[in-house]
Amino acid sequence: MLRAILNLIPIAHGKINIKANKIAYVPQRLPAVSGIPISVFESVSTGLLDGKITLFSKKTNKEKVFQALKQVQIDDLAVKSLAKLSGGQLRRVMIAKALVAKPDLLLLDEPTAGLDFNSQKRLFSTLQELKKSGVTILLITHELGGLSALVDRAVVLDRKAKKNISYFGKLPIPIELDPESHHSEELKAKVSESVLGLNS
Amino acid sequence: MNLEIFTFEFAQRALVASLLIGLVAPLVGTYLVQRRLALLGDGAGHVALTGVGLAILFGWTPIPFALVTATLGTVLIELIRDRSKAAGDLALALVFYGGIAGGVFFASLSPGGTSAALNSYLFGSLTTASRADLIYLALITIIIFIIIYLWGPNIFAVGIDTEIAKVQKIPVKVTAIVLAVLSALTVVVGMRVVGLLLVSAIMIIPVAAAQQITNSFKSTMLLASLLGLVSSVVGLLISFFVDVPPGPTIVMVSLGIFAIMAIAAAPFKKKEKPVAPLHNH
Repeated sequence: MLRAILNLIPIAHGKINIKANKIAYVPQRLPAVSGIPISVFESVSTGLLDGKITLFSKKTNKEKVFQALKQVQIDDLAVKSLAKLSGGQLRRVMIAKALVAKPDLLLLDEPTAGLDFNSQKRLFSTLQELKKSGVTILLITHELGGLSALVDRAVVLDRKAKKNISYFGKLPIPIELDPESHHSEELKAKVSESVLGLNS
Repeated sequence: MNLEIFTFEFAQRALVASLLIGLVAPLVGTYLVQRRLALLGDGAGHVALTGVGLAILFGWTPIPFALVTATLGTVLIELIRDRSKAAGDLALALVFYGGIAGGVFFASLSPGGTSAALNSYLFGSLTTASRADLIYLALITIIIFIIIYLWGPNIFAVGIDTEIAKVQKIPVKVTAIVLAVLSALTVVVGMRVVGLLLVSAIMIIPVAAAQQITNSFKSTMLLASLLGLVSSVVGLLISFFVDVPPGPTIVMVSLGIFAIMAIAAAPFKKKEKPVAPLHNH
């Protein structure tokens, strides 16, 4: 779905209307860390590119990159090679790369995949700050885990249900921070009960 | 070591040509290695040989011919590769064979010509770079620098993640073609001194050596360029005194530098933390 929103694949049916001016995307996969070393700063700088001829070492760009790194609390890692970072740190590098161009819509694909409990908590606080700053976040996940408290609206995609989308609404209560739980069923139940008045 | 040889103009020209290729080849090579296209330079070198063969046949200056055939060949490889990775691999192989065959075929057709005329272009030569050649090579080098300066960040971004680059509206196909053209230009700069068969070595080996100890793309580029420069000049000096073609000597020197750096960096690499997984699911 995210790839359709981003126009990376054609849409088979329907239409996608997006009001955002600038969209940024954080894919599920972490960046490749083998091969030529790439520093955190360099990786995040590429988020500023927009297909036009751009020069790397502008002072303003440097400030923007450090601002994005601070947003995700990894400004102390700027000169580190990506190969020396943990999975959680790599995820935050990717979010910084997405944020550096100041998007108004941030798309996250499985942002908690492969992250340990502490990394999920840090990701939660980063996304919470972003939400407060007015960035709209659309994330896709199989298990919301610790991120559920951030969610204003949930859409549960279910192949078995008519039209695929079976439940839509504001989450009634924040789901407990529990990385082990699988929320798909839980979400369906809670959203259907309190928002749609249905039984799952 | 007696450096009197540099009072001769041919030696000075060879030195300048080797400085140019030593400096510029690893810069382009860094992008090629990042995109796992290390063999593209080789393909460009092979197909440039057809251009040289045609130039020998018609009695014209080889550099423009080599430039045109190498550019067409690499762009064609990239266009095919864009459709299918497997077809791109096959196209590269066809360019390898066709390039060499075309070069020998056309050179042999020249009046009284034999394929021996190609030898200096295959492995480099100390005496073949003319003043006009140097002007061509310097101009091409300047063009390479300008392209890297203006479009390098986009090539780098596509190398990191093609899909995100597309989302950022970076023209991915154009960027691939720009890199192919850069490879062709670099091969032509190196064909006089290093030779077409070995020129891609000076694009790749200094990068492999530099990345043993660097922490960033930029530092890899700069160190690779410095190592390329040292390899070219030292290799050229050795070839003056031991009477072997400069191409193989320059490559042997750069391989020596790579071995030293790989051995020196090995103990530090063992102490590094385990590398993060490539992909999560």
